[in-house]
Amino acid sequence: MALSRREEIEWENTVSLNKQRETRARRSEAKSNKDAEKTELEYERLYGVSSTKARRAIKEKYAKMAEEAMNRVTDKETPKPPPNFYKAEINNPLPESEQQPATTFENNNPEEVVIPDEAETPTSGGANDGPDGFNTIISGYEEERIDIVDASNNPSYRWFLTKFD
Amino acid sequence: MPILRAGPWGNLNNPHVDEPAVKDDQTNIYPVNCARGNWPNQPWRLLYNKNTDIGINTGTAALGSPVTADGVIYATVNLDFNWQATEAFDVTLQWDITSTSNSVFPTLEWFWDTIEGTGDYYFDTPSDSGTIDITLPASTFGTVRAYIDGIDTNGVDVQTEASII
Repeated sequence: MALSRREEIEWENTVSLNKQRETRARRSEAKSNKDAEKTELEYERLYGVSSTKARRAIKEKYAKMAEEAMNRVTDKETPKPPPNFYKAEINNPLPESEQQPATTFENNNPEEVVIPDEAETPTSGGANDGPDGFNTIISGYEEERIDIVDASNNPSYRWFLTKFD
Repeated sequence: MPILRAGPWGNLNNPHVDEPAVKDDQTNIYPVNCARGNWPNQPWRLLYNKNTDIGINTGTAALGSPVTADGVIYATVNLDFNWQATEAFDVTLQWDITSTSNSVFPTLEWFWDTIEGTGDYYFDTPSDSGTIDITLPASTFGTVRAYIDGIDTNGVDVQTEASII
C-alpha cells in the first residue's frame, strides 16, 4: 500500500529525528567516557601511578567501552522505509520549494572510528602537552622540566606542574 | 625513588649554588655529580687543589683524570666533590708518589658526609702508590673530600699524582 505524500514526509522526518536522537546519545556517551578517561588518567598521574603500563590499561578500558557503544548503535535494526517509498519519491518528486536539506551524515562504521592509540601519543613536546601526551595542565599551573637522579643512579628528568603563590 | 637534582655546585649548607667563575676551594663549594654519571649539561668533575712548597693551583678534573702536583719538599693533591645517588656506588681513589731521591713519606685521608647525617672517615700512611675503594651511600646530597700528601724526606723533589676513578 502506497503512502500519501504527506505520510511519506512525516515518516521521513520521524526517521531523521530518531537518527539525530541516537547520534546525540552516542556523542554524549562518548564524551562522558572520554571525560572519565581523562579524569582517571589525571588522578593516577597526580597520585603517583604514572607508568606506561597503568596508562595503557586505562586507555584500553575506555577504548573497549567506546567500541562497545559503537557496536550497540551499529547492531540496531535500522527501520526500513515503507514499500515503494523511494520509488514513489523518484516517480513523484517534491516540488523544489518543499524539498528539505538532507540530514547530517553520521559514520556508524566501527572499523572507521579512530580510537586514540598509545603509539600515536607523543611522550613530550608541545607547550600544552603534558608529560603523558595529554592536555592535562591544571589551570594556574605550568609545566617545568626538572632534572632528577633516577632509581638506577642515572641522570634523567621529569615534568612537574609548578605554580607561583 | 628518584631525587631532585641539586647543584650545579654547592656544599652541605647550600646544596644549590651556581657554578663559580673562579674555581677555588676558598669558596668552599664543589661540583655536584649524579653518582658516577654526567648531567646533560655538566660532566662529572671534581675540584682539585695542588698545594706544594712551590705554589697552589686549583681547577676541575673529570672522573679518571689524574691530577699531578710537583714540589721540592712536599706535594699535596686535594680532591673534592659532591654527589647525589639513589643507591650506593663505589669510587676509587688512586695515587702515585715519586721522588728522584726514592725516599717519600705518603699520607692519605678521605672523608664523606651526607645531608642525612651519615659519614665515614679514613686516614693512612700507605705505600707510595695504590688504590682504595670508597663506597658512597644513597643520598640526596653528599660531599667527599680526599687528599694525598707526599713528602720527600731528603728535600730533593716530589711528585704526587692522584685521581678519582
